[in-house]
Amino acid sequence: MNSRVAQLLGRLPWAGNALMLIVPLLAVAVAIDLYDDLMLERILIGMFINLVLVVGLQLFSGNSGLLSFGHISFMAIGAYASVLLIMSPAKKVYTLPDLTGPLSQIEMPFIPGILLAAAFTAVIAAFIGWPLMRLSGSAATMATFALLIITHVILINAATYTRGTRTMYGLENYTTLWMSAFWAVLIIITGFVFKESRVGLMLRASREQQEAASVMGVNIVIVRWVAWVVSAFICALGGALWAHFMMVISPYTMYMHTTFLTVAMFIVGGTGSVSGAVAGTIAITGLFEALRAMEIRISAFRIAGQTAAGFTEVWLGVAMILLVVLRPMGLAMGQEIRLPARLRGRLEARTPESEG
Amino acid sequence: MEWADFAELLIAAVSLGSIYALMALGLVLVFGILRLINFAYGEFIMIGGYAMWWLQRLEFGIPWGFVALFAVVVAIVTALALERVAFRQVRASHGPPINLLLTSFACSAVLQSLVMVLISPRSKGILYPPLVSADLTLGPLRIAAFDIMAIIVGGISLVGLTILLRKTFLGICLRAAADDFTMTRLLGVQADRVIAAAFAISGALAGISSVLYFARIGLVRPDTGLGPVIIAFFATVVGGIESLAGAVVGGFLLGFLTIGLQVVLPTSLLAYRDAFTFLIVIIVLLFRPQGLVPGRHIREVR
Repeated sequence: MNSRVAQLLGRLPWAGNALMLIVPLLAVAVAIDLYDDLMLERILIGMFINLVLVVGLQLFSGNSGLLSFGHISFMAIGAYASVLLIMSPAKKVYTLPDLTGPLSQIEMPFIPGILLAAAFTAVIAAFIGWPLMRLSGSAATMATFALLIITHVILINAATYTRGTRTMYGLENYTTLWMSAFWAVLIIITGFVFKESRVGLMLRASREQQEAASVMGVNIVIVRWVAWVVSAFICALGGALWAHFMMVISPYTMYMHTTFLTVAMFIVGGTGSVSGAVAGTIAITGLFEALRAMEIRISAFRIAGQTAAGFTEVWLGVAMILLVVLRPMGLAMGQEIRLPARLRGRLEARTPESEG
Repeated sequence: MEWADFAELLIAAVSLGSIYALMALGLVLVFGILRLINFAYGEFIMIGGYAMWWLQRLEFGIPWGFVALFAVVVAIVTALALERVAFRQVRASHGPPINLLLTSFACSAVLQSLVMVLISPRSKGILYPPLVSADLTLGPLRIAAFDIMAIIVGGISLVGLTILLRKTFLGICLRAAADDFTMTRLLGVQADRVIAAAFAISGALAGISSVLYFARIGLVRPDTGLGPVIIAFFATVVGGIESLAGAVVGGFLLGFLTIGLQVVLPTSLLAYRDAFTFLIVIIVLLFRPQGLVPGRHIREVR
């Protein structure tokens, strides 16, 4: 058994790192499932969905070095597309009365529905990304930011499909604890697989030295584009999961604030690694929930006649600044979390072909 | 279209363009030195609006020039305070430049929620003298007095900023720092001071543009800053983020685009106006990634 694990580690050098992330996450999920506290369960589901989004963002931004503000638009497109595919025609009559044609009749099961929604989003991203991936630096960041605004305006105005400014309701709660945990784990593994893949390696080379990578035969536009499409697929999945967790969505809930939070998680964790994305998500989610719990306690007492409501965001902002001052290279410092040395040593000793 | 209609639109576009140009200049000044896209810049404008509201509520009938001056001062103080408390600390920790961006995000969130908690999440009205909302008749032309005010104030600020940057020692330091910060420091210019000065001027420009901006919309809300900051970003990026002239060009271009699309687009597409504006922005970026007015040496920023 151990030697088989060791063989796996020899062939997939990142498997140990991924295990170090996945095992504790699943352990927490089991604990919360057994403890059976609805509030904690919802926090954890929210965190797993954020993991999907932030690891998706890291897959593009972390490997390419191009900061994207546009990924939440993929989340929004994925969320709305999944609702259109999954909601029953009987409900659509009420929520989307103007909808006609095959979309009003279709009703897909949850998992095929979110996969198709994500694939649809990835196709859109493929078209947008083709010209966009030629840009670098602040021009790229600004163009993705423009994309976020354009998507928002379109979602608000395409009322036939989205109910426009009004909230979309009537969604089923499909995103259970284990559903979200499953996707979070799968996406973390995807993050590692992509990072170590041929394309991922070329993309990281282009991040470090654009000209050198280019001279070595890396087609920068294409490798960036592949990462862009894959990460759009992942963020759309995150959006679809989120929609069927919240059960109500509106274009405003997937806009600036969500962009700010996911980008903050990405940066606080350290941009260069999957572990960073995971650490940042856990840290910011933990901080946010702890602050909110404190706020509820404090406002129950009404200190000096003033409620403390709303201060969560203030403290969260202060905490983020403190985090980047104290850990300027990010929580994970650009490294991947590694198996404890003792365990690694024991496993590697049993692998004949391990290179250490 | 009658030539008079055209002239009226032109004046409206120039007026909007000068407000946008001021906003863009405040953003590009800090970018030039710190390579920071300051997301908290919109909050300087928001705070300027609240300063006007607060002073007017405190004492009714206070002279209006004083209210405007107060807005500018409060915006400058806010900018300087953020630089001191947040940006300087993050800069001193020697992290990657992306940390400054996160800091500006965080500052923006902190200021917005502070205002929301301490004042109110609902919008507050700002009073302007009746002259601002009056219409002037000039032969066949009907011009909003506000447009004239915006053009004059914008023009004076632009000339003032140009003199400051070209003729004073501080201005020369600022331009040198934007050109090559390391070299400027080697020549004995104190980094902290130059950066603080850039933030102060950025705050002043935000204050001036907040006076003009709120004359257009009349209300201030905690999330008001988002609109201006987005406008300023795109004006700088389209105009050329390396150059001050670019910011002005970008600001006027965005002003003309906004007014132009309003006229050209059919009513059914008017709701999509912002989408069209930003689509054009993306197209400009694709063909001129360095902006319309590239800086003297093109440096890629990550």
